[in-house]
Amino acid sequence: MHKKLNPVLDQLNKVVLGKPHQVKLAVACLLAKGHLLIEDLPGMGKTTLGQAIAKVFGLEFQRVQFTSDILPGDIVGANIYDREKGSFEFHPGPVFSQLVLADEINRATPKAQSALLEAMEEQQVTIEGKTYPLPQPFFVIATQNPSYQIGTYSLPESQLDRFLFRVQLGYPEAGFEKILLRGDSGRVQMNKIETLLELDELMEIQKFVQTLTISDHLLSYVMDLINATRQSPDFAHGISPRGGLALIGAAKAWAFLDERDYVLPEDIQKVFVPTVAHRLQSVKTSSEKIEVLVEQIIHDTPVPA
Amino acid sequence: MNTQSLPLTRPGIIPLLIMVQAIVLSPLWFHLPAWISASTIALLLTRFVVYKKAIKLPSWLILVLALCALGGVFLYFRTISGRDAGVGLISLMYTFKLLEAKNYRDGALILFISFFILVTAFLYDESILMGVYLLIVMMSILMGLIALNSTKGVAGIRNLGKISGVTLLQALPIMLVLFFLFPRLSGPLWAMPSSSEAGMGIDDEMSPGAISSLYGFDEIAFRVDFEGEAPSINQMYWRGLVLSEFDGIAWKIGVESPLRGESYPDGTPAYQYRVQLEPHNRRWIFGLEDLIDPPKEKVYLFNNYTWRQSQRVTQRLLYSAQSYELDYSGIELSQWQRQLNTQLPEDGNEQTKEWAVEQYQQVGDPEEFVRFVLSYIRQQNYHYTLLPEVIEQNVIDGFWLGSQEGYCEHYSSAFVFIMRAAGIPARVVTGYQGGEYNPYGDYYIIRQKDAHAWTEVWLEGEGWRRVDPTAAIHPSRVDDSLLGQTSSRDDWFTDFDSLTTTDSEIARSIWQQISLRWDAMQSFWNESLMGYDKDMQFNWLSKMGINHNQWRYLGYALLATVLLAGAGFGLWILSQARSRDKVERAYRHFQITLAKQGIELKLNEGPKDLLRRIKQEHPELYPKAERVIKRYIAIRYQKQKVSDANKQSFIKSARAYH
Repeated sequence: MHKKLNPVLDQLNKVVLGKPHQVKLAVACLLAKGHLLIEDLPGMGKTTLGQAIAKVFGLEFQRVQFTSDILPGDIVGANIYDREKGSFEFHPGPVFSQLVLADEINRATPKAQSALLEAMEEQQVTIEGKTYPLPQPFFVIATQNPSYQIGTYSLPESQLDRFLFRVQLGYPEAGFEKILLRGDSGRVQMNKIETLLELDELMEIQKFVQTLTISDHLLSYVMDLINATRQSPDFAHGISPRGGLALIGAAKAWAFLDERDYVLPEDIQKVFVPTVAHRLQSVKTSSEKIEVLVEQIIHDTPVPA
Repeated sequence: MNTQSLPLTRPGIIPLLIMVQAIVLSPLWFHLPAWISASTIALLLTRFVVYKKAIKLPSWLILVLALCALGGVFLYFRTISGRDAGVGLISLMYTFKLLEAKNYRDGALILFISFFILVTAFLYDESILMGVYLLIVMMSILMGLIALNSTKGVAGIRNLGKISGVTLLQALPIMLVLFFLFPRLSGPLWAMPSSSEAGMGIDDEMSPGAISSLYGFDEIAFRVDFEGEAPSINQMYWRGLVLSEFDGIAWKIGVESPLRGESYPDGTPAYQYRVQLEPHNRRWIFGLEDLIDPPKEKVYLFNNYTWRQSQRVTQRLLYSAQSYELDYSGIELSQWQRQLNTQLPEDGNEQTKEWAVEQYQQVGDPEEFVRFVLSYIRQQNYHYTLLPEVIEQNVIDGFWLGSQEGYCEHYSSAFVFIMRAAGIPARVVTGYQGGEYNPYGDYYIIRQKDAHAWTEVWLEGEGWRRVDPTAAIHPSRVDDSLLGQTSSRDDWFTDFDSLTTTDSEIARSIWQQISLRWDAMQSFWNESLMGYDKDMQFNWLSKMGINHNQWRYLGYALLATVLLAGAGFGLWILSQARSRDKVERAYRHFQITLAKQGIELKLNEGPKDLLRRIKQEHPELYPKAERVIKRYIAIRYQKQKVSDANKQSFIKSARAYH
């Protein structure tokens, strides 16, 4: 089962150039049944990544561009009167697909944002008392602009919590940038992508990932890390138990991608920053970026021998 | 992460240490010689510049400067021990230490020495304010320690303050137990050098103006706390010295000697009281008349019923005493005592002498004569004033028959002179009279301005009788300025009728209330905290039902408890180390072995990363190390249940790794 994912990663890396770590995190996020938040400037290849993942896993793909006037109904769908039948009929919104790319989520108003986020949390949509389950697997990649930009509504902490990872893509390295500028990757490569996994296989892997071994010894390391965030003077508050669970789920997916069926401290360390950084807030006095402070926690906490 | 390996140059640590040193040293700057204070300030500033500009001072320079400082202290004080020289030297070395501080150990050392230097401020000033200040100093030292031991250094003063405050509160119970139960020494561990500043108070000589010069001083001479009933304020005569010798101008102590125990006179106990005597740098100890039993060790009763300490009072002295009514029945005035107390200079003040002889002949009886002179003062135009006419020669004549105005020393001096001229033994007594009652602490404050002089007259069959000629002055002839202010003396002049309350008096009474409350706090501080000594500890313990001889066992028990607790704690630490599982110890051993082979020990590293690092840095170690690490991963992470055999095989391989 492990082996199937190496070609997947290879294909993705051909499309999203020079970002193997972020690509691996995105795949891990899917395997851990989480949702991914990509925070970066426009034009960094966020959409490309989303499309590529959809294609390689054979997921039904929908892209929703969030704007300041988008309404909840534009996302989850609405009951519309059908004159011929003389009744209301439910028209599902773009959220009813297996991979939803919610672009620039923080351009929308909080009301529209929460429509998506509730769907993510509950894996279903309720409209006028009727509940419609979302397709499985259900994977949301949301992108947001850095919060200092004009005309954005930052996601509240409670909703940031719905995302398993928050990653930054960043500028490509010089070598890759040249290839990008030559223009012969992009569309061409995207078209070359084949679907490598059946849906059942993906869901089986998702199930299997949850069964990976986490030893007591590793749990005590996780607890040390969580306690460190709670005791650190740098953060307004520590990681919640839900955050702890997310960390373990993510580490399992990472271990799976590393072709192991048990989790090592290294897995925790690799996923710690993307899992934890957006769940913490630095105290006002600290000028360090939150990622740096979280990295410091890893640095300062010994791995139990 | 180990903070001990971090450099001191982490952001904020050095400035924090400079701040701690400045806070610790600042109370000493007012007491140390100016050059030492200036040097320490200069060194702190230098340290700051060195830190800011990242200059590296050569260590030989620091050494040479430190030696110069040592030499300077020796040349200045001619010693390097003793309070001033010792504190000066340690302050200098303390700041030099920061100048050369490089690593964790230096920082920790500086902070621990700070705790010691902190206490030296108490050698100069034991007041409440100093106590509060030192508490702040303690907080700041703790903040320094916390920052030094944190990987983040000074991350938020507020947070540091919170942690150190909580630490102090946690230490409070231990502090209280040690304060109350830790065995007190009967004397200070080392003798306090007597301060060179002269204390203020009554002198051993009384000439006109000697006591009135104390009038303006509100300084506290002593505080008195009565156990049970207190006498009325105008009956409070605090006896200090007896002056028997007169040279025509000044009264002096004359011959006196200590009484031995068996020759103590009889007396009936009157009042029980406790005194906090402020240091006055003299040897006399004040007590409520009449004095018999010396209140403390090394205090002696003299044959004129005064107390003397063998050493000068240079520190606040606390003592409990009992006043008596002396019974002179059966005691004859010895020949030489009679001679001493009737002695007058050969010549001078002839007019008064003649006046006294003449009047005595008319009255005939000593007791009657005392009464006559007092009523003479009351009826004639005698004035009570702070600023009498200055008389150059024949002071008694000038006062008694001339100006007729003076302060208590004039009256007592003239009165004794007149008695002696008539052949009646008499002497001057100096001390304090009255006191201000502090309702907030239920005690009396006796100030310098309450200094007073009165007299004693020997009456056959009755003994020494106290006569206060000043109190005989008619109230209408008391200087206005003296009346309102000397509250304790109002009682003497009771039928004075100008006592209407004005606004300024109300304002003053509010101010008085505040100052009385403040004084009550100070009194508590002096008596119960600073003055908590062996005797008080005994009293306190006996109230708890532990009496004197059991006390020693309590000391042993305390010591034993401390030792047992220490040993228990040590054993617990040891057992913790033992019970740390064997796998862990074997893996640490393995890591240390690797460290010796050049693979840096990183505690925050997982086994796989370690293996990868070995492969990169020392490929030759890889095959062997891989076997150990594989086994380690297997038992620690791979399976939920691990057999002992697997553990054993890992432990073996880890121990065998070389």
